Amino acid sequence: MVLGSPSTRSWVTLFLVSGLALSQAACLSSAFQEPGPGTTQNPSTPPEPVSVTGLASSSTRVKSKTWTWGCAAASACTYRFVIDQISNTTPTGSFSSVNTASQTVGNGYWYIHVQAQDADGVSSSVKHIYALLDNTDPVLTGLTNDSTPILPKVWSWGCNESPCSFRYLIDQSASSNPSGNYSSVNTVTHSGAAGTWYLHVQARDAAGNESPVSHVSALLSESFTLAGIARYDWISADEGNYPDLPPKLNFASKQARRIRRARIEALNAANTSQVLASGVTNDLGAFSLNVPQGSNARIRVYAHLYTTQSSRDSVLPEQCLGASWDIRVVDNTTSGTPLYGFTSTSQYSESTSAIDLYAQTTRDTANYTSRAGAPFALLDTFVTQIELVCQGDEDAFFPQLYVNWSPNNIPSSRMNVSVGDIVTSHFTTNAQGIPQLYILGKEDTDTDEYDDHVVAHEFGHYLEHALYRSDSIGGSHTLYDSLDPRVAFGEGFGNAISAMTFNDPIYVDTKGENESDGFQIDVSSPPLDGTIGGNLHTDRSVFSELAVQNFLWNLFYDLRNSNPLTAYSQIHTVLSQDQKYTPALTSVHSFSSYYYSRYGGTTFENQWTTTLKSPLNSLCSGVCSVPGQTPDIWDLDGDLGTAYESSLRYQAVNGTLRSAAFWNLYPSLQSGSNSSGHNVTDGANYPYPRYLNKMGMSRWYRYTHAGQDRTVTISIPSLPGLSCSTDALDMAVYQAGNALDNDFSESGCPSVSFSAMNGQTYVVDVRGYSGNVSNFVIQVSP
Amino acid sequence: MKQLVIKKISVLTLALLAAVVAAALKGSAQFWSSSPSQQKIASEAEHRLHNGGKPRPQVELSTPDSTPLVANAWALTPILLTPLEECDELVVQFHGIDGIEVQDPQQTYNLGSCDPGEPRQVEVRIRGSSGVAGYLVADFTLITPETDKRKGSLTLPFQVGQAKHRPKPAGKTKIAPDGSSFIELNPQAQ
Repeated sequence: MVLGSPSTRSWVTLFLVSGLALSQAACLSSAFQEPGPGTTQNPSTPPEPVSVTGLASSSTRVKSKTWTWGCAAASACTYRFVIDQISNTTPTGSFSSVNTASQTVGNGYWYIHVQAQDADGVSSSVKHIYALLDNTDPVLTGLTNDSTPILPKVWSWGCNESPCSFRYLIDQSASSNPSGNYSSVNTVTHSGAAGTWYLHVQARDAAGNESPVSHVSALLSESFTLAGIARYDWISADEGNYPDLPPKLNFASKQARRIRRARIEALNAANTSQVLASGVTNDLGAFSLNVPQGSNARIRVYAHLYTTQSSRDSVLPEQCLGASWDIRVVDNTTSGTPLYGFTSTSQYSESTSAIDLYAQTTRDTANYTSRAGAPFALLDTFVTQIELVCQGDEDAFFPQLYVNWSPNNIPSSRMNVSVGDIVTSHFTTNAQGIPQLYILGKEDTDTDEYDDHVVAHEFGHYLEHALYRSDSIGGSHTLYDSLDPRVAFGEGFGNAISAMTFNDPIYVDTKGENESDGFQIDVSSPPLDGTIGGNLHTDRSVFSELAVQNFLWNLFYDLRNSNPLTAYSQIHTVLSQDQKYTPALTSVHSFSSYYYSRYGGTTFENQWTTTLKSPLNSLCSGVCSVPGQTPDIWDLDGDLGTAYESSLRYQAVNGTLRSAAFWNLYPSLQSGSNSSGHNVTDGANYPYPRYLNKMGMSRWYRYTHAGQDRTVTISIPSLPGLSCSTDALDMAVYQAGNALDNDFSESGCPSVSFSAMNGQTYVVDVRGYSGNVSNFVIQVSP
Repeated sequence: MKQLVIKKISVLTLALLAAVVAAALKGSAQFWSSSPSQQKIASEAEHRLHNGGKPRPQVELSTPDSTPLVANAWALTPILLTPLEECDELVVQFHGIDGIEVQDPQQTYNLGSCDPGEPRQVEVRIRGSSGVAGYLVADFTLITPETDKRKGSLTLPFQVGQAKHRPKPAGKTKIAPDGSSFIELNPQAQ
């Protein structure tokens, strides 16, 4: 077993050597405890008249432990005892003559607590001693089947705990078992006749637990090596120069780039269903595959990033170590959504180190003649972005992702992905919950495979889904909207992380005939504030995606100046460790509360107070005194409202000033009737359905339950001036982003019920649906 | 949008969802006069569809007349562009792909300022030869005082007679060693 593992919770059975009943401690749970003192007796005090003898603690791992004890006293003793995983338990109950006990199951430190009593009824202090039990079999590591022909074959292995000893057997049977003595030998080199050979290994740990036998195969054969590089054509999405020069794909910039970390196979040229060897390309696109002598092979690289444990190859960037990923570029318009692959034209029957597997993108005067580079261009963006994330977590786990790209993927009005109607490049999940990216590929219309910022933006949504958390409700949005803060953060994060990925703030999206048009967003441009072009802008707030993207980019950019290789780590840490579990809804306010508490910093303070034009104290309980302060994810003091009521307008362009109550994020709900200036939905002048995700249509509240756990109902029993048949309001209740109940029915008087626990805070989201409602009353019962 | 579990959606309603959403995205007048429940379900579904979509100017494209074309005959086709955000100018050009031709692809239509939600109609002459199923592409530009031009492209499918849109993959479909299919991108390796 692995000491200190949290998985040691189990029930124990205690066997008495004598037949007397045990104390009630026999079924204590076995939560791991650090070993405590061996006795409660203070060594500086005089010897006790009665004491327990014959017991000593031991840290030697054993499968079971039997203790026997006696006493030092003027007369015969009786005893009482208890065995558990707590260091200082006092036994209770009657004393008996039993002076031995065993613990035969369980893991970790187990304690026996013994108290003696002499014939006069004088009791000793409690003797506490421990033993270290290990009843978990070791697990062999480092062994896998190897279909690559090789001669000789070197096997090495280990186990998941230390020390272990091993025994092994090599033969040509698939399921033999080794026998004989164990030893410390954990590597062996085998040179046998050509064919499949098996290694059978068993491990034993220090306590004597034995692992199951592991059987792995190897193909022994004389071989030759096929090595080379895999490349693809990369085309730059050039930014434009307003007003005369639009962004475009610059075909003149085409260059061969290396296909990094892609799955590659050597195939039998005569029968390509037979894999002769497999591997992945390194960060220089290089590969080296050993194939059996006498073979005639082709090489195929797949648009597939796959590893269960990444390693480093001394080519920057290489932040990842031990990370895992599975990202496939597939064709959503072909039955079975097949993976893309590129196979060598040549066949190889002897060693070579000069194979050039080159997936080209070519054009005639007006159109593509080959799009082979496109799937690998997508992969390359993902590799770069994976490395960015690994700045914060070197062994990050990236769940399976399908990237659906096709030359048929078109900006359509309807969604029918099987024919390429994908509306636009976007992220979603399929019916099984597996993340999916859809990327445009229709030439002369809109292609995104080389618009790497667009791809990185969508991958950012995947990261939010798979590694972080997003509570965004989605919906239509533009840069100058006053958005639901969940949406503002999600979209702002997407643009910001695309800039961080390439350390380039210009987001370029090309389109049109010959991919010679497009538009761009400069993430480094501050949000508008003041009269611009005759319009009054107040775009600096937690409700603006423009402000969020600029804020996040500036945080990153500042960090990158001082440490280029770890600039993203702080943002990753907050997103993965704080924001992911926040009781609040995900927004730039919750993010910033955690960020400021962890890291503080004048750059952050300047960005928060200028780019977002928001008060620092809204992030802290009371007045800020970073670092280490308690984050105020709710803005309990209402600092945002106080600041916004005199400066921020709704909507952000040519809008009107609103009250502090209107702006505050989470007014508190109490048992009974709740009225507040926050109780108003307002779609401003946004048309349907665009107003559905705007700030004034998402009214948030917090409810903290006090008292016994019980079902709580929160409702809006009536609509001022309207009938409940008017579908004006919806409602949802969340705990840490998980919906506990919601009411999106056609009734305009929504109601939600949930099991509330003492001390827990819940978020209630009242969502406007049709029209505006003022002065509604929220009822909390009981 | 994992939090949005819509109440009262029956299996039957879900089955109708795709059609409703398609109508909603197309912006047809019939949809907007449909019942509130249909609108609501469509709205929630539309949110999901748009969630995570790339940043782009917000314009919807539709046509009230999707009658199949007659081979080699120019058809005057009404096109509706519905801006969903404000702008000082909405400018659009049209071109065809996959066999659809536009009579004057250089013509620029300046539709004036944007009034969110209010469709603007233009008429475009398009044609295709027999067997063609292609697309009309609207390349539009939104101009506002605050920003550079913001551009996007949207498409409408058109076909001649009963021609079907058939996806053209980037390569030939083959079987991989693990039994799955894959697209061979190297034409010389077919």
